[in-house]
Amino acid sequence: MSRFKIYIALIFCCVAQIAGAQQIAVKTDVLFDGLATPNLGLELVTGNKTTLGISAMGCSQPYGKDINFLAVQPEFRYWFNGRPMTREFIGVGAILASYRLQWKNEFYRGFAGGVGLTFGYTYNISKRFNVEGYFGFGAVAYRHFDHESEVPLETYYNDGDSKDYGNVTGYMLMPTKIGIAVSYILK
Amino acid sequence: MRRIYGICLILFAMLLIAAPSRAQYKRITGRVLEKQFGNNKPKPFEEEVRVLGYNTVSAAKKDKAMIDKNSSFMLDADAETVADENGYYSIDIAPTGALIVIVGTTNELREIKKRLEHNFVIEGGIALKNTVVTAKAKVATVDSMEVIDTGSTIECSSILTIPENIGRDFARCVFQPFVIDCQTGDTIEYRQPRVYDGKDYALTQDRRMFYDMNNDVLKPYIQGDPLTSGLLQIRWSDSIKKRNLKHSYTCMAGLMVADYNNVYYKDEKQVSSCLARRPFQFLEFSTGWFELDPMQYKENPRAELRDGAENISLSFVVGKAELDPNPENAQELERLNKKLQDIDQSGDYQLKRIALTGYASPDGLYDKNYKLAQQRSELAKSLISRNFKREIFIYSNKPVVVGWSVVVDSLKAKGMTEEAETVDAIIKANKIIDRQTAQIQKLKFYATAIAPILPKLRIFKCEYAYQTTRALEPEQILDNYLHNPDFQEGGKKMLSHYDYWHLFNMITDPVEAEKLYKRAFYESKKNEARPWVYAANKLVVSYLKRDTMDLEVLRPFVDINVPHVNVERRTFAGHKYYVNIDKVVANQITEYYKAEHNDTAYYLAKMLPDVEEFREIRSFSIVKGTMFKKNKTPEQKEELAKAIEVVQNSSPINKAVIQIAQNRNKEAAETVASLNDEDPRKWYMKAVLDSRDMDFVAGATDLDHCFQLDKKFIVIMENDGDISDDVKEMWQDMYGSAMSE
Repeated sequence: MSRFKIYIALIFCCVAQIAGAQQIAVKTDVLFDGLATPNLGLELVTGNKTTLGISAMGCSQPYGKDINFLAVQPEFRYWFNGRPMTREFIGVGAILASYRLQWKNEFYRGFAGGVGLTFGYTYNISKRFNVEGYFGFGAVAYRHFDHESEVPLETYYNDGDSKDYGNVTGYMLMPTKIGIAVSYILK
Repeated sequence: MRRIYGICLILFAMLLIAAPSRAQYKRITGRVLEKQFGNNKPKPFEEEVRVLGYNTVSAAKKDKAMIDKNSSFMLDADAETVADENGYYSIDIAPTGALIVIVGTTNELREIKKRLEHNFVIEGGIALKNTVVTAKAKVATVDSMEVIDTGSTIECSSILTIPENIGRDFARCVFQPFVIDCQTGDTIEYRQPRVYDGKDYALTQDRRMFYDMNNDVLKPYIQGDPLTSGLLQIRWSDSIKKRNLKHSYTCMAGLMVADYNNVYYKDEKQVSSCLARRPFQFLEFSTGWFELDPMQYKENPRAELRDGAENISLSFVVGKAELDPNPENAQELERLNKKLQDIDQSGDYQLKRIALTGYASPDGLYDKNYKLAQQRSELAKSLISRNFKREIFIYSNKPVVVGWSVVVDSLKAKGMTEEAETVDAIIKANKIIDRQTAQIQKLKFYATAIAPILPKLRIFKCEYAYQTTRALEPEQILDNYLHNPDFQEGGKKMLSHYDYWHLFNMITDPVEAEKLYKRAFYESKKNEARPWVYAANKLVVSYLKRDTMDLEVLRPFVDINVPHVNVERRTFAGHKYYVNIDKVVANQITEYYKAEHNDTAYYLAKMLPDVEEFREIRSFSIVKGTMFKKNKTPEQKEELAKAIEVVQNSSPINKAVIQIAQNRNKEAAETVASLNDEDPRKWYMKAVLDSRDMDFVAGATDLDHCFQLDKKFIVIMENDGDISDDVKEMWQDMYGSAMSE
């Protein structure tokens, strides 16, 4: 998990280095904020019709639920009308997540990664404030431990090797992104 | 029986007379049908079908042109008929003429060419009755336009409307006016643009990659009104300075609407016409002038330096710098001394400096002669200076050893040609003077012919300069000016202001006087710290009397940054002088007024006090400078109102001009009616008022009356926006051909 955090921090630093004279915005998905899942995104203008963004979110025991996860989502967006961060866009993104949660009597702990397509619309409130709504859908692959709550987790280790990453793998088509975000253009 | 026979004969004769006048007409018949769609047979028209007959093709063509212009109320057909319900018609007309068939909005001309039957199948235009047509403009339109030529500027204003659905929230509209010279067609300049940004466009412009709004050249011109998908009205007005006062100018405007990606609407509209109203073209202003009081500018005589020269012959002991003790030397010295003392002590003059030049004869060695001459010169200097009680500057010039060629000239003058030639040959054969001396001294005739000449070469030249402050009498000044080449233009001496002042009063010929003023002014401009204002003003007054001008002459005396007249200033040395002398300013305003520099004339006019002397020039400048200016302050409006009153009351013509300029048409009509009938301007202004009333026939008649009195008004009319095109065309139709004959 800590290595994962390091990777995220490095990616953010790289993005910060790229930013020059073009605009950069910070954003937060208010839906997830409402779900006690703090999240933060950065979006950088890369062309007259394109932007590159990255966002990260995570939660730990929100509302007392046994849910912990951390996800990062880089995304490349194309803006149709001719100005970035304005009106309609389509995005291609990835998702990388690490999770540990209990759902009914099942424990899940593992990693997921996928790619997806996002569609959205940005409404300009002022020179610096935007509100955007988006929905993304894609394919996500996962690998995790899946065990019943009474069974110790170690039972599922093969050969007692604690570095085994899971007993369940698979993929699914699922929403990769959904939300209403508020963004603020820094410069 | 005879009587009956006579009556028959008379009747027959009458028939013969009448017959030729009817023989040229033929009965032309035919049918007029409406063309149907597809293969359907043509049918008679439901509307009235008029058939006009013309004896000549040219008359028919002329009327067709009028019909095409919808001016059908002045047709001049030789015969006319209406086809019956089946389309048949019959008309008597010359077989070399033509027919015009008119149905609704359609017409067709056909030459008869001696055929007696002409059938028409016409595609009739459908005349819609009681039809309301609603249409939405898809292009920008210019809804109103006003152009006023004040003489030096064009004041234009117009309203440009961009219809709905052209603008968008995420688009930018740029309105760029530019000026074209109507005579040359050249684009003269681009005026200030206007930019309208849509709401989203304004918010998102700087989201573009590397875009900096501060570098947007259009940023200063972004208007407060946003561009939307609704109607946009651009109310534009501008004041354009005319580069050539004889040309007219028009304004075009480029219009461009672009969204984030491309320009999707582009247009060019004329927002100002070549035909401007010229409200002041008949304004009468008698350009007066303002003379400065000569007694205020009377000059004092100045100190003047003069030169003189005297030659004295002194004899010295041979080889020494000592005077021979003979009475001739004493006499010569006395003579020179007396001359110098007379000058110095006369009271009118004062010796300033004396220069002595000693001359030595060529016999003996050159270097020795030269040194001796120097010593003798110093002696002479001491002999002269001891006679003066005050210190006087005496200096010795370099001595001159006279060459043997002077001796040759003297021998020739005495008739000794042979001896002269011998000496001359020796000079030419020897370049060095000592060798010449050695050989000449060996000549047999040296003692008899040459030696007596030599003492006369040993002289002193005394040059002196003295100053006089004695004022010349005016007659002497005039005499010097007229007869002494030194005092004429380009001469060695310059006339002083004192001299010029007197000459200005004495020279009466205007041409000669102007030359004198010009000379005095330009000399003072060249040689003095400040040019002489009196001469400058005299020169400008002379120009104004000849109805010409030179704006540069009085420019040094008018400081436009000082908004008052008669402002006192001092030089570093403490000498007093004035800038913006009121009469000088008034003359400069008159020049600017004549040159149609109305803005500058107005600005200077505000400097002048509102007194009787300057009231007229002030008022005319204010009226011309501000009447059509936009955004006047309350003070300017009040000032203008007073000025208008003065200008109106200056003459009946001016009253009419002002009333027409202010669109007070009823009052103007009364004023114009009272003007002299022989004045072409009366009829021209009447035509302007008729044009405003849309009484085209009266306008054309009044124009013709005007042109009969003075044809140059035709050119004025052609370029005048105050006469509508309809009146112009009406005049052309009614009187144009007669005028061209």
